[in-house]
Amino acid sequence: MRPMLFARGADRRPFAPVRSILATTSAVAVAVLVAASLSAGSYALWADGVTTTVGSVTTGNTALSVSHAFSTTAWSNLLPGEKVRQPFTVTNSGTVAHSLSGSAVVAAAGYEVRAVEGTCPAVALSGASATVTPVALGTIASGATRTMCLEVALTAAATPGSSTAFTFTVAGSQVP
Amino acid sequence: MNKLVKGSIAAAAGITLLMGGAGSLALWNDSADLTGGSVSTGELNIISNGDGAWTDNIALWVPGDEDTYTETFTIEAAGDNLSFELAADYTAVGANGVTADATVTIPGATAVGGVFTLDAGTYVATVTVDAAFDATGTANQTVTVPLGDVEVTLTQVP
Repeated sequence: MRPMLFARGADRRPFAPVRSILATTSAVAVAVLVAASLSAGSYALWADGVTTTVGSVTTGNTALSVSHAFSTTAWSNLLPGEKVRQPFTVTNSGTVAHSLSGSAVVAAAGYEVRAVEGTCPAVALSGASATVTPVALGTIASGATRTMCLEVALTAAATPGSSTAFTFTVAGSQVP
Repeated sequence: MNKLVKGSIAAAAGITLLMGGAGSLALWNDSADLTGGSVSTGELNIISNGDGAWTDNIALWVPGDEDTYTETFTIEAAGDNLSFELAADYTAVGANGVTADATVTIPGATAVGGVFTLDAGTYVATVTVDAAFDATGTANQTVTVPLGDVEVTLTQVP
């Protein structure tokens, strides 16, 4: 029995450093915990908050439309120097006022196109042809409908007995 | 003397000796109470002074429009050792031509990195959201852009 006990004691001796390391580590851990709990005070702090709901932004729209009841016979059999006017309307169903301008494109030579705000006057329209220079047509408010007048004039450059299509474009730009 | 008599005398003497050593059994007692009073806590809260409003209150925005949403808050902060931070959280908007960002102002205080550090007192914080809309041609018509929430938080700091 004795030698056996002695042998066990001899076997355990190498583990003594491990035990001391464990003891030191646990002692340090306990010291750190105690120090932390003493120095930190309470972790509870007041907090409050509110939320503002800003909502949203909804954008408007722009919507210009042109309507007319042009008579094709009125613009038929035109002679050089003849000027024929017909009315049309522009409607702004958008949410903002627009300033308008008109420009014309004619496929053939010898045609002049002019436009003016308001009802058609009895006299010929003045100014440059809208085929060359865009014509200002004033401002149209949101929801408004305005009457305009379109004039087609024939010059000597036109080919006799011919027919041609033309386009008149009313452009709107938002008024700041 | 017989044994009984001697025993009685010895017992009596012993009791007498015991009594003489004990003295009086009455002792003075007294006590006093310490009134600890009470602990009163302070406060830290923020409340809205009512729903915010737009300056121009534009129903349908068109390019070039700008408007400002403003809401004010009252902050009540009481406490001998109270110090707190105020921060506002907002995700800036940039969509469909609409841009918006939020700012917080507190009279007499300056934010550092978007955070106000304040001591106890009563403050009025103003939260403003500046929104603008821009577009060209016929872009971004009849769209609704949500502007989200501004979250204002107060946090006590040690």
